[in-house]
Amino acid sequence: MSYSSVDEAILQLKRGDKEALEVIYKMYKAPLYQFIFRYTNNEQLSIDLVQDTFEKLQRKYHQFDPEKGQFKTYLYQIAYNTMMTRLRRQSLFRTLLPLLAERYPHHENSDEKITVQTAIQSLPEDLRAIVLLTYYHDLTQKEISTILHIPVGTVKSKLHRALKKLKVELEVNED
Amino acid sequence: MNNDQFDKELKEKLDQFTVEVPDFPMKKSKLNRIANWFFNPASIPFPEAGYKKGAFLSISWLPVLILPLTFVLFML
Repeated sequence: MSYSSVDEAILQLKRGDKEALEVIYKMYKAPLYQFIFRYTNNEQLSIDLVQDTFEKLQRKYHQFDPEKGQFKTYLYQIAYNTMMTRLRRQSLFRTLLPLLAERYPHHENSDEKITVQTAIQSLPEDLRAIVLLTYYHDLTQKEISTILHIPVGTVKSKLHRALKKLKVELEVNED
Repeated sequence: MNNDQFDKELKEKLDQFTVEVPDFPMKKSKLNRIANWFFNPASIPFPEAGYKKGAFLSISWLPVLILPLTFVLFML
């Protein structure tokens, strides 16, 4: 089954067509995985979180209101919240049982890629999310403010700070 | 375009961070969950001890040596 747009798929999902969820999954699986992977640097965790996001969407799709915003924003919001909850839990686990927790991120890439990965990882969590959502996912500052639950002005200032930090980390000349 | 704030040099660097998407289903199976937990890479306890390749090889081959030994001892 195919739909001409995600809006149509959502409409079909709301009408009870479960196959529409598969269509939405095919559309958003890759971007969501890429966002989570770039944020966490962990393949298995990223797969897990994408699956959790769709599990939540299956339960909450009726809460999506097209008048309040785009579906893409709604889905990224679910993914971001799910990711943050999991990361907080992991951090607690790491504090309580440091020997059992995974210590280092896995790098299986080229040197240049590792440099960029490390630079992105070195950004504080809120700045990292803003850079990733702006650059790789082409979301507007308003959309990012909805996903991260922060004012648009904060997104703007944090993006400015993040870019400055990234330029230093990646040794990019300031204009 | 939201990327206007990223200058050319920075964009070139960020573009190097490509991510390949593995194939995985929408729903988790219980078997997958167990397998993922089981095969998840474990951290090295006490990395400051400085493990060497030889030590790792000996440890990984230990079961292969212990199993026939146990069998021989059991038969005696």
